[in-house]
Amino acid sequence: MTGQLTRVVVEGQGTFVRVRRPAFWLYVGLVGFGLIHIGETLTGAVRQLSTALWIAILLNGILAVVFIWILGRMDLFEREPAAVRAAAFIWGGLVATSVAIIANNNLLSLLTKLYGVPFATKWGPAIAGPLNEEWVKTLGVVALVLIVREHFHRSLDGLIYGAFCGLGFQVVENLTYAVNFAIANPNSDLAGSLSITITRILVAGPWSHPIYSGVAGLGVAFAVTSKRTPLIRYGVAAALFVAAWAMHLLWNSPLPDWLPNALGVFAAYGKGILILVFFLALYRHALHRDWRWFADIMDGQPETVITREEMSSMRNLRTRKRARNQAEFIYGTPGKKLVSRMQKAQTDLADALARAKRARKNPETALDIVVASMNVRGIREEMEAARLPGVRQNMPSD
Amino acid sequence: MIEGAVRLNRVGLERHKTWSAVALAIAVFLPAILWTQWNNAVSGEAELAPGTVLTLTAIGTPETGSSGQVTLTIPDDGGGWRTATGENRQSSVVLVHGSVWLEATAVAGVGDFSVLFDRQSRDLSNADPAMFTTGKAAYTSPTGLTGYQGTLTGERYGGNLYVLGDGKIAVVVVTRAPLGRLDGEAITIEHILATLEVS
Repeated sequence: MTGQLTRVVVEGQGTFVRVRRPAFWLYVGLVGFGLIHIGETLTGAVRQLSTALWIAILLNGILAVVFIWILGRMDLFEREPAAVRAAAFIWGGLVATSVAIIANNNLLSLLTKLYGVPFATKWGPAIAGPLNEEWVKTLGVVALVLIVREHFHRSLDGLIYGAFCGLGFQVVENLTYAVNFAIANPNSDLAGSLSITITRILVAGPWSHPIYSGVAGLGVAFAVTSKRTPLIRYGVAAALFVAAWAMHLLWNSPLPDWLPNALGVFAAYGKGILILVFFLALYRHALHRDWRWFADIMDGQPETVITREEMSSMRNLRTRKRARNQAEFIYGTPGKKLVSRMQKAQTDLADALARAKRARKNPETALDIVVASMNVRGIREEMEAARLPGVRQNMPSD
Repeated sequence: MIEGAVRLNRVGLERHKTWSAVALAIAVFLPAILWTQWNNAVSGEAELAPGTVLTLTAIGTPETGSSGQVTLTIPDDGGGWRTATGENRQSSVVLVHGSVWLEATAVAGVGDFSVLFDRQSRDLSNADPAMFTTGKAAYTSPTGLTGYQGTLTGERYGGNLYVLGDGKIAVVVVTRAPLGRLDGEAITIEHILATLEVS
């Protein structure tokens, strides 16, 4: 047999860098391409627009921070590595936008040639946007699968990575809009840039690219992590890609001509809420599967590690918050913080147990499991010490 | 520590993983290649008959809230005008006559035509650093639109920039031709400008 066999220490390369994977070098090349393409647009703008562009960068930076915080909270059972989340963001911001700009411009030009200006103006964004943008953003999640398959454990991981691809795309797309509108504004760069940035953040911000790409990413991760038959796995992935495309199409599609202008804003928000509700339903389903995974992996752990009530409270954000609030009655002022630390320690332990299971290591001797268990027990001791006299475990709800 | 053994190919990359990366590269550029090739394959020019009326719709930015229309007509004695159909938008049209290239864009929400002229001049220079505008002067079209006119001078191309309008609606007309070729077409362009109307 030809070919050299080499021992690779994956961890030594960080959480994203995989120098032996061809897809990694493709990723690097595509980011370089995106950097040149987007850089060309924004470098001229930095020189020409300065204040207008910096304000757009600031506002979109705030949007990004808010989304990063929300996505961090949504990822309840395992925080995805920051480097991989950043890689997804960069794909969306540089690779997907660059390719989409070329594809969209040509498709819009083609539609104009074939069907005329009125049709292209009305339907161009609804056709070109979803078709090209969802495709390239979803391929960002596929690229991550090819580079760091080891960071895809459950479907929700794909939703998070997909949402980061979408977020990168949204931020850079908003910036290119800010540049174009600053130039096109007849009176002032600042007015053009500000008006479009605020409009895009307020009107489209909550239900835009992170939502669509999150849905498509959920499908990709389901395809690679589920143990169902290939038909089901790839069928679900295809269906969720179509769903992402349909959500984007719905958002970009024109409002009916008969609708009074005064109702336009309400109709736009109606479409957005519909998109958000669909996304949240899928998220809830994926989260439930994550909780089932958590319950399975923690099954058999003693009460000193996780009690039945704690297991049940780990289900979602609401139940976790309720447990933290309840803790104040049991443990006094530090209760909230203690339970918050306990919840984090328990998810860390579940992660360590899952890693050991994948590596077929003995959980009794695996160092990270021992450390995580000790951490949980340490917090348990602190909780017991802080327990208020005469308060039973389930106060005050019972 | 995560570690494993992988089999490498001649260039030191994991074996049997290259095809998936190649497939990904093709998939990434697929929409761009598909639409570019298809767009190039479809003819992008159409002859405009004399007397054809072109209507451009301008929608102002949200803070101005204004909108309007600009019409221009291909002169009755002006045969040979063609339009680049793929370049046309709701608010702009590109016309070609021999070696002359003319772009008309409708703009709404204009506060000051002089500022708009200066901004257009700046954008033309930014798009083509060799191009600059000189001789900014007040101009009134035969249809009574008022504004400014200037001369564009570039390395190989020259032309004119017109910013004309009424109230908050303006039309920006940029004409360009290889140096020395515009003079012969000046009359034809004047005929087009004579048809501009704003509503």
